[in-house]
Amino acid sequence: MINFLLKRLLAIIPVLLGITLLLFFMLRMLPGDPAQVLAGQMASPADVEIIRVQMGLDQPIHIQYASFLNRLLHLDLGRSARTQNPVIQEIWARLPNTLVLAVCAITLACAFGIPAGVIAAVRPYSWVDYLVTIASLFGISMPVFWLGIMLMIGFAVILQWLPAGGIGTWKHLVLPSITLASFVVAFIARMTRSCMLEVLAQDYVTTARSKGLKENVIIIKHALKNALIPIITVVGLQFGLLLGGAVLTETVFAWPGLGRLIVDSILARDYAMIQGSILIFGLLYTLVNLVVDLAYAFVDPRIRYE
Amino acid sequence: MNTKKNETDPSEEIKSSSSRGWAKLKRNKAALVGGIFLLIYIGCALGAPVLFRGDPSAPNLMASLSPPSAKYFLGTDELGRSILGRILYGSRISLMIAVGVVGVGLIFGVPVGLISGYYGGKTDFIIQRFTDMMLAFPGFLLALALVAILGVGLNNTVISIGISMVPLYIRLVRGCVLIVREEVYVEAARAIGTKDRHIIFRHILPNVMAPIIVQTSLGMGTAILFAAGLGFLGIGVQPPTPEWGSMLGSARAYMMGKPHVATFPGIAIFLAVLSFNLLGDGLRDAFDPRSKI
Amino acid sequence: MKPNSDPLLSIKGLKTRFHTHDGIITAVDGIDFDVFPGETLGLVGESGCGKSVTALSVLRLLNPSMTTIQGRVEFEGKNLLSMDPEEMRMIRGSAVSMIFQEPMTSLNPILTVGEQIAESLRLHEKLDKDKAWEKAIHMLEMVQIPSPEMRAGQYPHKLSGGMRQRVVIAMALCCNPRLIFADEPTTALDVTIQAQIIRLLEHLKKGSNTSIVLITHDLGVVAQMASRVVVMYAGQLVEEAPVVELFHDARHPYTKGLLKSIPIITRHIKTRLNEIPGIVPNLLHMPKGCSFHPRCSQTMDICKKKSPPLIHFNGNRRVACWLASDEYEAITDSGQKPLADSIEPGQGETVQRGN
Repeated sequence: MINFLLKRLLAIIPVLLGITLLLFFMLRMLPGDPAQVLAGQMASPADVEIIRVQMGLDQPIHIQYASFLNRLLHLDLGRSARTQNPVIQEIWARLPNTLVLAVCAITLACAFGIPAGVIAAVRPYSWVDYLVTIASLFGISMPVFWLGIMLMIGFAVILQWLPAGGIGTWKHLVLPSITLASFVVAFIARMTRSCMLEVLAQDYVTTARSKGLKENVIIIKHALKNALIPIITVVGLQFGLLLGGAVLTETVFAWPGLGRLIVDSILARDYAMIQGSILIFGLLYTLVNLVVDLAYAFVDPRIRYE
Repeated sequence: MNTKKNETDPSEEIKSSSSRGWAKLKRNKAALVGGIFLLIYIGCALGAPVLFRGDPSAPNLMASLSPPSAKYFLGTDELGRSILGRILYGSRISLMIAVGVVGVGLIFGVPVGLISGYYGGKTDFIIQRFTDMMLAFPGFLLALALVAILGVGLNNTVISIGISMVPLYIRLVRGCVLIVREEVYVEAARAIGTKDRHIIFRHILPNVMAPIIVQTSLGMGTAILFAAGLGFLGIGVQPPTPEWGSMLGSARAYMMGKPHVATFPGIAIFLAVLSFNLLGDGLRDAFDPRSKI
Repeated sequence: MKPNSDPLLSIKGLKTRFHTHDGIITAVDGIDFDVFPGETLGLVGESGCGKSVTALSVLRLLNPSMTTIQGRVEFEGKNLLSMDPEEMRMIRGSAVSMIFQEPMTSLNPILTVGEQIAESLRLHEKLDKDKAWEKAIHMLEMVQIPSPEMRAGQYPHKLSGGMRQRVVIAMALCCNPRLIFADEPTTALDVTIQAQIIRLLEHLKKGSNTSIVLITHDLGVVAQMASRVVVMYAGQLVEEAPVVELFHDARHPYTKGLLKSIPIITRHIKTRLNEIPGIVPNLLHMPKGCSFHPRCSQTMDICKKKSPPLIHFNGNRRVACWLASDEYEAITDSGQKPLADSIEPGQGETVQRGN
């Protein structure tokens, strides 16, 4: 297992470098003078020159990249053209909100999705199975932001049970979490169902039955435990994708998270901010994938004891 | 070998895997429903000028925000435009985007995947690291980042989402190629000196088609969702072009009093994506049941 | 000689049908046979003849939504097919158990080998955790796995195919079953390991009254282990005889064909291997009349039209062939005592198969 871990850690390094490279060049792919771009439309020519020197934009490209990496390691992502605050500060203020939302959503999704998938797989072609299948199909076909709006209309405007947006109490968390979870729960339910079906068709399940074990024991101890291995991978991947979907949900519910920050920055052409926040997102996603790989190695004894 | 004549009747002939697949697909009711929805969708897109007279983007402030009625089936939006008309014309836009996105994905993804998988070695390594880099971001975020660079509008939407799909196609195709490459008939073809290009097109590509087709159908649905997302945020297709997502975006402000403006475009997106998903699922069950997508 | 005691297992008229999109497949088409305490019965036939399905039907391990099973299966007097599912479950693993063909996939990859044996013990023998684990180690010892304490804590992927099969055998034996179905226990193994496993099974059987139904297509294994043999073809029983008589005096053309096709090392190398011409019939499109007639070298007119009945003779032999009944009829014509003891009407009708 140590080998596996080391290999995965090593594989991450080029990916991380790649992310930084991508974002480094992103800025330079924009039309116009990068210093001007970074400084923003409001900046005076003097400000632009300050930025140029600060960011070392007059240097050769490889030196620029090196200093870019250096700044990254010191957590210096530049300054927001919109608010004039350090990028890292703005991100830091909002990242926890996004994480809270994402964790709530994924927890909800697993709490409903995995049992639904298991039941659907264990009773194929029953009404539960059809219900789960149809609901899942609907869930992955629905635009997340539309669902958010519909829920808002229903629960916040018409019924007035929950607030329509913003952050504050647990009540504010309900609608955004459900919205964000909708796509994921559908996906997880489908995945769980198909993984369970595959596992239930395996020889060792027949063996377990031939030993006279109780059906519940077979489903949970023999089947589900095996099916969880690929399911964990999927859940982890979905968590990463959630971070992307958070952009839309946060916009609908005016949730002050990282996703909304990116959107506002794009609309305001605040490139230092865009670059910084996408970088952080990329980092997070890569980290999540790494954790998933590690979890996978831990849960599957074939990898753990190699 | 001397075989005695077995009494076989014609219905016993072994069916090819593709004809069995078609039979299975036809049996799949959900896929059939998806197929019908899809035909309706394409019909709306092609027949929009016939089904709705007039310019769907022409404002008519007198009728602004009218609820559904006999005159305006689905009501009007904040500029008094018929929502039904905009949805019909919007189906053209979304279909164009879906086809464009998948086109970009296929044109760039499939050849690169084939080369990467077949030739292996350094080429494969470099391509894979590049793909890793692109896949280091969740799909929608990648499209978002590309829009930030390229700018807004229909073309840039298609290019951005298309590019974000390319790594998926590369991975998918490469994975299949790696498996098919090891098949004995490929080894045999190589052994008798068949040219690489011939092997790739004649032997490998046909066996990779099934997952590509499934991914294409599902990818079209994803493309519509992503485009709508970008439109909703205001950084996709720009008004006055009737794109379903941007229609939802501008409807947000009027949500409190006039929910109909936000409801119907969303239903349109939902039905379109649903039809691609139903069809894609059916295709997968029929032609590529061991697939993991 | 027919054993004198009552049968442990009595299968009567077992019919197992699978409902598929392409039609109804009759995998087992009305078979009867008995298994007596302490004997090893060989159940022989080619792949797809229904022998595994027979075992799975008896244990009710088939998917109920896709399968219909008819008939009676009496185990120690009770009909397993009509039993309450909970009661049936208690019988599995304790009174009747099964050894499967593929050791590489029959064990759960995420449970230790010891746990897979211990859970049976905890369930059926009501042992507590520690005692069950101890006994599991003891079982591993019994099946001749070296370092059993260490092995018990290992996961299946660490064990070789032969060792895994030993574990499967240990699992099947741990609760002292009265009947074991061994479904091709050696087919998936190397020839040298095969011999080891056979010897192990023989060794384990000595001194116990356990009956084994040995399902196999390998006549060599049958010759070594079985005392009686039942031959199946296309879902039907075609011959039954004590093992020595089967090998020396097979009556059914199929059995004769199987025996002839065993290559003999000492024979002259230049002769071709014997084979039974043709292929096994498609279960969706069975031939009319005797299901073997298209491949039989002694087909008569009646074989093409009517399915032969099961003819009893010599007290403990049965064969489903018109040739044997021919003998019977020929002898009665001349007024002598008929050769056959009786004819079972069951298989005499032409049965409509397929959809």
